[in-house]
Amino acid sequence: MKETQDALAVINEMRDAGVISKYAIGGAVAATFYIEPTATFDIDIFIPFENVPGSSLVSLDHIYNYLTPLGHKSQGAHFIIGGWQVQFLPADDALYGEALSQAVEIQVGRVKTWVMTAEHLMAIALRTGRAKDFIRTEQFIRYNKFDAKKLDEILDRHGLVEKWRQFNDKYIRSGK
Amino acid sequence: MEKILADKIEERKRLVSLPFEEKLTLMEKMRDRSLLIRRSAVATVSEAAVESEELHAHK
Repeated sequence: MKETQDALAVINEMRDAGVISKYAIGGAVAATFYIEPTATFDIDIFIPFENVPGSSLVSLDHIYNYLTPLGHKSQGAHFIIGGWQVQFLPADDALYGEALSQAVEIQVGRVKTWVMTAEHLMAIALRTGRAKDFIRTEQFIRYNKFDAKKLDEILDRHGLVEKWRQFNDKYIRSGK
Repeated sequence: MEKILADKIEERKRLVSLPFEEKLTLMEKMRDRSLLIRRSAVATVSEAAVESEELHAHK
């Protein structure tokens, strides 16, 4: 846990220094807060899209300029922090934006951090639609780690009701 | 077989109920193991490529 804690401490320092503003952990690491741990190489950190003024692209310059002098190397789209490949991703649409704004504050050892809610992780997984996303969604259901009413509202708001119905027909009701 | 499957289900339930910190420790171990396998695979491929090149050079 120490490596993750160290990585999150660095990300919090970036927040304190104004390099990024609010952030939320998404992806496999966030899902693990609720369900089974899974193998992953990276920590996905979602940041507000307005961190990139006047551009439709994500500029990592300010992040790069902060992390590199501290000895954190970049590797493709990732930065190596505390043994993890950390990827900074823009919350660049309504669903990601909402997931970021409603992220839950948690404690990892001595470090405070934020993870996306189970319902937002499910909605994002449903929309992304890779095999591993469906496995993740099935686990949230199997272990009853979500609020059905809250999920319904999110799915409705973001036009994912039909995808949810298809997912249920294919993987849940059929018992596959 | 049923016993094995039942044990597996129980183990997965146990993993879900672990504190987040303990799950992260497991994830760090899984990540390190996966990285080791990935590096080992890359190294093996690279070694095979060198060996192949050397073989061709000697022909």
